[in-house]
Amino acid sequence: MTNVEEYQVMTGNHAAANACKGARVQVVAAYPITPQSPVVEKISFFIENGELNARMVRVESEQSALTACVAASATGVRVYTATSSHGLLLMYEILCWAAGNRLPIVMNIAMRSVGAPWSVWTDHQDAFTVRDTGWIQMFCEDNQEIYDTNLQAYRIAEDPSVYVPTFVNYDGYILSHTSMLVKLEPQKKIDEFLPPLKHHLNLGDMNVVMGVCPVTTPNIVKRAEGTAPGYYEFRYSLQRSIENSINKVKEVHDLFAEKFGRSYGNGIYKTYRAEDAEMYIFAVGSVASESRLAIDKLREKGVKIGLISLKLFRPFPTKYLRELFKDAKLIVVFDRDIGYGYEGILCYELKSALYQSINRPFIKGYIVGLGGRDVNAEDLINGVYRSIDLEKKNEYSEQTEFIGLKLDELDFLQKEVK
Amino acid sequence: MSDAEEITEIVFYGRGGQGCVLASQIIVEAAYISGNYKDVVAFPSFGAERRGAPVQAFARISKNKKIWTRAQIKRPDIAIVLDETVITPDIIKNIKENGILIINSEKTPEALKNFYNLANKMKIASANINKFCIERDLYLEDIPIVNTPILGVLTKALDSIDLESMKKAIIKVMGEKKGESNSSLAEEAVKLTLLLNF
Repeated sequence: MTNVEEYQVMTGNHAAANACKGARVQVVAAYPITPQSPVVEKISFFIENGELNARMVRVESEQSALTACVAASATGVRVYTATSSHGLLLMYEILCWAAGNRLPIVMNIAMRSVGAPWSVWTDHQDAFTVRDTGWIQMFCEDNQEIYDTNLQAYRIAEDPSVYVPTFVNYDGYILSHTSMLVKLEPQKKIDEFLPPLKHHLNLGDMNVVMGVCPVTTPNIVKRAEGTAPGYYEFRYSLQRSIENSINKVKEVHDLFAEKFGRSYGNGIYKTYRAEDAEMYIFAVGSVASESRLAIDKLREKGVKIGLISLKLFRPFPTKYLRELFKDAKLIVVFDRDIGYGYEGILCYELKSALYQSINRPFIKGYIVGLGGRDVNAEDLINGVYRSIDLEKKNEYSEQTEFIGLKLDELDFLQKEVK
Repeated sequence: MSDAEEITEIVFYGRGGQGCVLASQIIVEAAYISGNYKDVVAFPSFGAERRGAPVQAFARISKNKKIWTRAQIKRPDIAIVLDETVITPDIIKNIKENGILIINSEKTPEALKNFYNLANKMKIASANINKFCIERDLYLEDIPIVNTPILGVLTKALDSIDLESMKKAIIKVMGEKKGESNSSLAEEAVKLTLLLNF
């Protein structure tokens, strides 16, 4: 039995806010949007209360929020922001500036569907949409993981070998507004794990102003004061740093586990009942946690299945997944997102990663739970059984399949769908 | 399902402004403080809520297993009704066998059993909290404060969460000042509770 005093019951949003407090963030700029708003409300409370010495910058939009974060981060302070859905999409332009400038900003995405039609409920569309902006991206399954991953994210992003902004994603409502047990760590211990930011860009230091975002030509420019890389070299450097950051992600995770006694698989993916598995469910966030129930039930029926819950999505851990799935027969991917006109984003990312494998498993993807439609174990189990059947017949369906649709309740649609 | 048997699922039925969400947070605190539960989760109905409109709040408490499910609760083990006018016979029939109905009602448990024509094995605990509030002039912005008294009623029907844990949880969630008075309301409400096992 756990010590009662150690744990507090709190929402995912408040776990995120407490991580910011623990990380001693210095500047916060955010614009409220459902379901992210309570994070920033709580941080404001901490600042007002004197518990956190930070500047809260009030802005008129998400684009301004991230612009303020970029500017603040460039002066060498630790910054934080959080958003969801349309707020994130409004930030899109500045996401690219943040990454290109190599600013170690940490952002939480309380994941929410994207309109139209209007919806405030969860899916992972917003987070996957920004995957190519040059940020590191991690997913969480519970509120403790939000707190822990945020603390790790600062240490990863701020490492001189990385200097890449980082997203920590969690499901809107399903985690953001759900209360769970969370252990908050003492400040001293966090300080030991996460020393103050030593920044490579310090605009406050007038002697070593390096300049941010100069016009950068296609080719290298040689000047008397030195040689300036071309745009192409800058972008190569960003890609290499993100690719190499996988080692840092793992290292920081292991250090965290050693110091605080909590671990999340190997920091890259988490497994559940996967030791002797012949087939796997592959998912992130709320879909991964629900899959654990599906796996328990399938195991009871003798199906040798395990879960791979992907924690690190960018950089995509291709090498790890090839090794992990080298003997897999079948992988069932449940996407709470979609690449319209193709299929679930997680599914095609995985297919691409395993294309070079010697033993290529059968991969079957489904769309689930868009816009907050309930994802339950029964639906996932049906998806697994259908995949087992398709694998036996070696049959690929050309059209993307959705689980949990209720078309039969819509009389006017039935004819058309047939 | 093995998981569902180990996890007790609770649904609160009430109206916006009655404090269903707060009650769900208190109940999971109490379950955890009692030492009888290893993992707890509470969540509101997701989306926009209005004062006076029917609302629900949810909780899961688990004695041994970590709670991984994030799905909505379809059939609760325990239904806690803060406002009798929001419930339908279907809601009551939806309670699992051997479940518990906690209800703010002027009816006795026997009368409720007959009224809803309940055949399943279950436990009913009823208390007239509205009357209790009117007698003591307990209102918050014109709405009777029923959420903390009804948590007292629950402790009479559910052995694994004792009154002391519930009182501590109320103080923890609401703070010293409000918590002290609300926890004594919960204690008083225990005395009003009528219990029926069948």
